Amino acid sequence: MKSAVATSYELDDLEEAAEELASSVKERLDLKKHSVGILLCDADTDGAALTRALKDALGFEVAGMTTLAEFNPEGRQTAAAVLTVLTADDCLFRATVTDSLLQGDHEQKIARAYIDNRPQDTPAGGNGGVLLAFCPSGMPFSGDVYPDILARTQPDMPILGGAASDDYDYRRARVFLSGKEHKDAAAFIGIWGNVRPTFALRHVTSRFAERIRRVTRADGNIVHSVGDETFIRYLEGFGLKTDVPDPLLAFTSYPMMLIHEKSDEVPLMRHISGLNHADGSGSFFGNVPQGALANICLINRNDILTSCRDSMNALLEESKKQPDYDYSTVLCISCCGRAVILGADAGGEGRVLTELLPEGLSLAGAYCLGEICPTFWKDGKVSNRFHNCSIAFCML
Amino acid sequence: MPSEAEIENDLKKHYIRMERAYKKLERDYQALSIMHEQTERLRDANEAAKELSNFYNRLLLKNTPGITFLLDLDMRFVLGSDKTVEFLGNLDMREMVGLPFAALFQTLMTDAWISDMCGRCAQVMHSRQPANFEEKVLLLNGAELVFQIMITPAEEHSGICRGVVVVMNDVTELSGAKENALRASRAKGDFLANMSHEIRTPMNAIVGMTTLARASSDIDRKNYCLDKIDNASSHLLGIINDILDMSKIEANKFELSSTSFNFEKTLRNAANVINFRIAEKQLDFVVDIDGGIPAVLRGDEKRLAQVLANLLSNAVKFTPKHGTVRLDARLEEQSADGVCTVRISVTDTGIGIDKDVLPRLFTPFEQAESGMSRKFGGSGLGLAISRRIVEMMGGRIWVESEPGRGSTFAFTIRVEPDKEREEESFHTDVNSRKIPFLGETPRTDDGVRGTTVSPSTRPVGENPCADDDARADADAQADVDARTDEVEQYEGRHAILAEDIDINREIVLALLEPTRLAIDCAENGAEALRLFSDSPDRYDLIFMDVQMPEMDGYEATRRIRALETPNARKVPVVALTANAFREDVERCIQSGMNEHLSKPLDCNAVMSVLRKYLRSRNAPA
Repeated sequence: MKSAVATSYELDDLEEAAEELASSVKERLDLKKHSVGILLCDADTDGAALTRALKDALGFEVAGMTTLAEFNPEGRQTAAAVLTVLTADDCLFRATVTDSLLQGDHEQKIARAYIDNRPQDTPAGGNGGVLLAFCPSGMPFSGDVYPDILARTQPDMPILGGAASDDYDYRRARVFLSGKEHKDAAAFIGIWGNVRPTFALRHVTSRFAERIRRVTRADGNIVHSVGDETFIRYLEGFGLKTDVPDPLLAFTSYPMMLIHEKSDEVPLMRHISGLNHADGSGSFFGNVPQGALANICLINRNDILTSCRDSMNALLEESKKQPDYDYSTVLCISCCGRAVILGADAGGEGRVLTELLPEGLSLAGAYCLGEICPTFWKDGKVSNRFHNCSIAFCML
Repeated sequence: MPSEAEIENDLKKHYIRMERAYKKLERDYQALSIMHEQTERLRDANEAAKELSNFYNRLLLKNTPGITFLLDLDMRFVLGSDKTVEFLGNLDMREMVGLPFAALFQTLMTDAWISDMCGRCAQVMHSRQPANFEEKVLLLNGAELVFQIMITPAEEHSGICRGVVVVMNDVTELSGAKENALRASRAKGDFLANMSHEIRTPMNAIVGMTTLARASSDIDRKNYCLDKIDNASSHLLGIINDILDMSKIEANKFELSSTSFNFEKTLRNAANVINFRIAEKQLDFVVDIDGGIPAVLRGDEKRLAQVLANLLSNAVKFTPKHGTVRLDARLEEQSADGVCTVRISVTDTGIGIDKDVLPRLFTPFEQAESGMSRKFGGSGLGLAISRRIVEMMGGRIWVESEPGRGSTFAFTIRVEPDKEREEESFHTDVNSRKIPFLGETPRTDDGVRGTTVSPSTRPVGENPCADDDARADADAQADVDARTDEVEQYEGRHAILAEDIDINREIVLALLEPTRLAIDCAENGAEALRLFSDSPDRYDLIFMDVQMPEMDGYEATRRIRALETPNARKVPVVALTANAFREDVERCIQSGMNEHLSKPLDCNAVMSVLRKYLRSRNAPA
């Protein structure tokens, strides 16, 4: 499989942007039998129009999502559209989108899209596949459903993905697939055949606040009480302001670390997605296990840069285990919370990635509201999980 | 050249991009502002929480009762309780941080202890298993402390070990109390065993003499037996009184009465009680009474006499033949209101008491050593009761003693003189007293008159009443003769009777007379061993008491069994003992005895044993 990454800062004249991106790709890449495009772009971009124009110009499906900022081989970009094209003779690329997940049974719709994504016949000599997921934000359900349903429909399929974001407003985040954009549907790109995806993920759990408490009542991604108080009272105990117009933004840089002693899983990181002052509960992007020990993680810029470096190095190290496979692209999903914590050094993670990116590999990535990536459990078992405040990589 | 329209279009595009960039900056600023505000709030709350946590941690360390400290993986001090700081000489905690354990403790503890602790801590860090032990620690200043020490691995939540937490609780007092409790428990156990023996011994006399009296038709013989029963009953009553007194003391219901009494008369009465035994042991008995002591006092005469009798009987009991017992009474002071402090002491030239034992002497259930009662008898309560009586009389009691040289038991009492009855006193000289003790011999060498009791000419060990009772014994013999045809005969057979108490020997001899069994008596185990060793094939049976002076029955039996003569292993040894607990029986059997008969002796049981062993030894092989 070969790949190329092209970037355009033209977000208003989409014909021009499509032309710029398509010609850049064609210049650098000899397109094979099968190709697919991944578009990661600013929320000001009309993704429907741009993917339609790109499909017209390139002749294959283009899927993607909006993001707070994009990564390309030059580092972090803003107000840009980054197109990654994957092409191969020995791989099939299939793009599917779910129906609206706000209406009806969202789990069934996700399962349907997964099943539809699977080709009837995979190319000869194929080793398996990998799924790239572009998920909508602001859904009333936990992000855990994506890996959980995949585990039921295609248990051995690894997945890398994230929830679409925008520049801290989070209401303009969208998902695209070849001429259509969706605020409430997920788009998937399945890569089938001779592909050996390698993953790495890191989050920061080294320092936390002084109020460790047990989650005493939780239901999925809703936490009602922690210790002997409501979730909101628990948050206020940290000194945090809860009477805020935008809880998501107010708590983006303070993820919650959860340690479930009965589980052999590494500590979970969870971002608050909303607060319900009527009953004192809080909602999260992912599930919160009842009985887990909760605390707020204290993360600074150095922690972010260190974990970014560690994760990228781990990815490169892992890729060496496949010396006979020719990797071409690194896809990266980082958390919007990390972008906020970086503060004035917003380009920090991009700088680290550029510095570590080996010659010959392209790079594309986005900041998301939740990351999906396989993770290792304490016993070495690998499982797709939904994460927050992490940085995840997939090398293809 | 671009056209105006193109330039305008280009500028417009740049403007839009700048506007977009500005909006993004605005959003970034807004996000950062919110984060900044939340961060400030969280930091303040977190710092406050940390401060509170630190405050409570300090409070915990300040008020942790034991020596508690944390050492890192290199055995360096990290943190400790105030008690630790105090123990180590009130160093500044900040000064101690980072210092090696060995350096901190080297001024207090021995190198060996430090080295041992370092080894134990290293083991705990390595194994992650806590260590818990109690040990006696000798400090460099000579103090000896008992520490209960707990070493626990200092593990993080993740399981990483960062060092050890050491808790050292000083349990010296607790350990002492535990030892005292154990000793008290042992003493009570010994006391019970001793009481069993002490009660059974006179009971044996009572039961045995009753049996003999019943079997005799001669009135003199009956009277002789009744006298013996009377003596044994009095002795038994004394023991029971001791026990009851002690029970009252322990229940805090011991009370004194107050009546007028003649001090000298009280002393005389107390001394008269032991005169008989003084004569028996041929002791010098010296009495010195200060003439300044008012003749008639008010107080509990009976209890004072009890203390005197106890001290005097002890002195006689522990003083060997031809020794001296001295009774002194001095007026120590008389207050303005007339209250007298009288010091009374009883001095003997007896065996003395070991220095280590002295503090325990006045404790209930204690004798100088547990074997003491075996040799000398007694409840072990007398001194404890005496102490209580003396204390209730406003005084104190103490002892000075040197092993081999003798002892002086002294006490003081505070008493009021009864001036109204002073005239009734029978003394004539205020500075000296003439007291009608038995066999008086005035002594004037120290300026104070006293009295001695001359040694008796009667041989020790001989029944003092034997002369008087000779005829009664002869009559009893006739009774026994009359009964010989009712019991089995063992004429020609020989037995040893090892028994230290005269009356017990007498009872056994009388009981067995009708059997015509020839009995050689021994007064202790050593004598029994000698008798048997001299003529091992002579004896068909040995009756062996257990508690005897010089050598007890267990030891004597073991030594007899160890003799290299065939009969030593065969000869039946029958325990005749007042030790009747199950463990006593087991101990008899373990020492090599064949049978156990408890006192008071049951005549039928004795006969049954004779039939069992003497018949079987006659039976053809």
